[in-house]
Amino acid sequence: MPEYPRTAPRRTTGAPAPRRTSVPAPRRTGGAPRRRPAPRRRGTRRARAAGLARLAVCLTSAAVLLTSGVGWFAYHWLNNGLITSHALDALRDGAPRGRDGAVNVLLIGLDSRRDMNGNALPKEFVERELHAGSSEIGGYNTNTLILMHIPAGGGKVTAFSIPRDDYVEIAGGRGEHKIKEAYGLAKAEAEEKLVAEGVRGADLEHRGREAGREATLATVQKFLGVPIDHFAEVNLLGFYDIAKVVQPVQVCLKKPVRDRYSGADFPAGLQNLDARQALAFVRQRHGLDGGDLDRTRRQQAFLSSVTHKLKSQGVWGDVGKLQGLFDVVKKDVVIDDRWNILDFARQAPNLTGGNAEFHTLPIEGFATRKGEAVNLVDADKVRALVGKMIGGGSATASASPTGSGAGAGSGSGEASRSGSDGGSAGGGGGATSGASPGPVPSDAFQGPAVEMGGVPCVD
Amino acid sequence: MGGRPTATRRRRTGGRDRRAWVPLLVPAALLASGAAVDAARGPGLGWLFAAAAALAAALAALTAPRGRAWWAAALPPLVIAAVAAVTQLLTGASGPHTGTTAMTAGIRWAMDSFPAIAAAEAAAVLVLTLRAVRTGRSARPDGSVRPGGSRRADGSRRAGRRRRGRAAHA
Repeated sequence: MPEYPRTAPRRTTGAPAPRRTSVPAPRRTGGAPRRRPAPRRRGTRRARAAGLARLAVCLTSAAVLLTSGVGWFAYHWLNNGLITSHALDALRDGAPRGRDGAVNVLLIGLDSRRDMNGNALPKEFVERELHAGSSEIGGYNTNTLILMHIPAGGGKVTAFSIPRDDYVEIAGGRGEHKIKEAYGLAKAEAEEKLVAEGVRGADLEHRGREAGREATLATVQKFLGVPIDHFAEVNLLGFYDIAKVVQPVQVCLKKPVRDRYSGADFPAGLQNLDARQALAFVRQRHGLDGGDLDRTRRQQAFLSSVTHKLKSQGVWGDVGKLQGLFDVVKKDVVIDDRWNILDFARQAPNLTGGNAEFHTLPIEGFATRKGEAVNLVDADKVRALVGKMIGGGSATASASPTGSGAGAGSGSGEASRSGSDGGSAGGGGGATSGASPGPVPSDAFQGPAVEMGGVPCVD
Repeated sequence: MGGRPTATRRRRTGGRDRRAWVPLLVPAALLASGAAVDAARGPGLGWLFAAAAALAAALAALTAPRGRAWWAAALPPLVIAAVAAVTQLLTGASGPHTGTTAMTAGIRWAMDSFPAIAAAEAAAVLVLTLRAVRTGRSARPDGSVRPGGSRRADGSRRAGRRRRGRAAHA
């Protein structure tokens, strides 16, 4: 059996000792080979452990940097390109005080057949898809005005639809008009001045619309006595485009309807609507018992159906799915420049989750003013009701802005509302403003409330 | 007799290790103050937090002992991310009571922390690079450092080299 040397033979040549990877070879000055000292090995192990720890820290740090960077870019990718407006800036100083952390959002549906630059939409498209007649009609009426109150801490969302024909004092000393006309009146006024200054084209349209938004926001804020924190404006084309992304949308009708003006032709019961039908569904008012007020409930029901669908498909929690919706929103929807989508997502889980209730603000009756049929309203009563529901601070409600309470109007065709829609009931009518939140009789509003979170059946 | 110097050395080394954390206290306090003030100004963390983070990282990179200077570049993302998350929790920007989705909370955290992390990393790398360039200029060709060549807060590196130098001569 061959004998192997127990230790490495002494080197006699001047060649360097083979290098070890982790530990440098001990210096040899001759004599018998020595064992490496134990403390040195401990030091090596400690150094290796320290190196691994350092590597782990560096990798974790890089991962954190990468993750936060991806999140940051994802947000900006989602958020970039939104059309924003400064219209709320003019309102902030005079806004009534709100409750801590609660957010009020005004949804504005603009009945315009023009694009963002004021160009008329293609005639065929308007007639065939939107079923909305010529680009010349409709003007800039805000046919949908819905104030959504999102309470601090994520409670139930309360939304108030303002009937478009409510006869109120328009902000900016423009006198009394239908609330839907505030936008168009202010826009026309502003454009007159701008044209005199030589402003033309898309710039004229943009600045005119800004004036219209300011007037609408100020009018609603004064009428309801609550601060408006954010707003979103969508026109007919925007609604159609959004409906195209989310279609088919399931709705439910209590009875069949047919209306040649809006193009609505639906059977009773549950049914799926495409974008064109969806627009007809929310625009129909002819042939409905409640007219405009029934249309308001249609809009509420449609919003509920869309929210229900988006929630059931998991769109709210999926950046990829949200992107498709956002592409349309970026094109057709105008929001205020301080609206942080993340904050809204944080504040509105109940809204996106369907925990919301729609009410239609009460009217006192119908009348004719300046040759037009209008809704008479008791502004004090409306403010008190809204304040009672959401605890809004309506300190500015010292005087009635409408001057057109029930029975106060002159002219022909005045009638008090009664019957099933009975809008004259209770609800703290004429009460002082700034009421605390509390129970409100169910008949205080115009008709029954529409609960979000499913597919409500409406007329 | 032999035990006393060892114990003294251990005490000395331990003392130095403890002191090494002291310079990090100022940047940490700076970062926390920046987060607190920024959070008090409004929802989310903004430029003030990012500026405080950059300043804190620069300070840490300036005062870190040479052997541990890598901490100044590696730690900012972890510390800033933690501070942003804690701020988010404390200010109620996230939490089960609001029903916040994980995605929203995650993006909010990223929005709060990434600009500050990026600013802090940039500041730390810049200061560390400047330190390295300055040290490289003042180093002698044989690798030793001219007296006063290295700007040290605790002077440990200079002393260590001197010791090695003496050992080599001996």
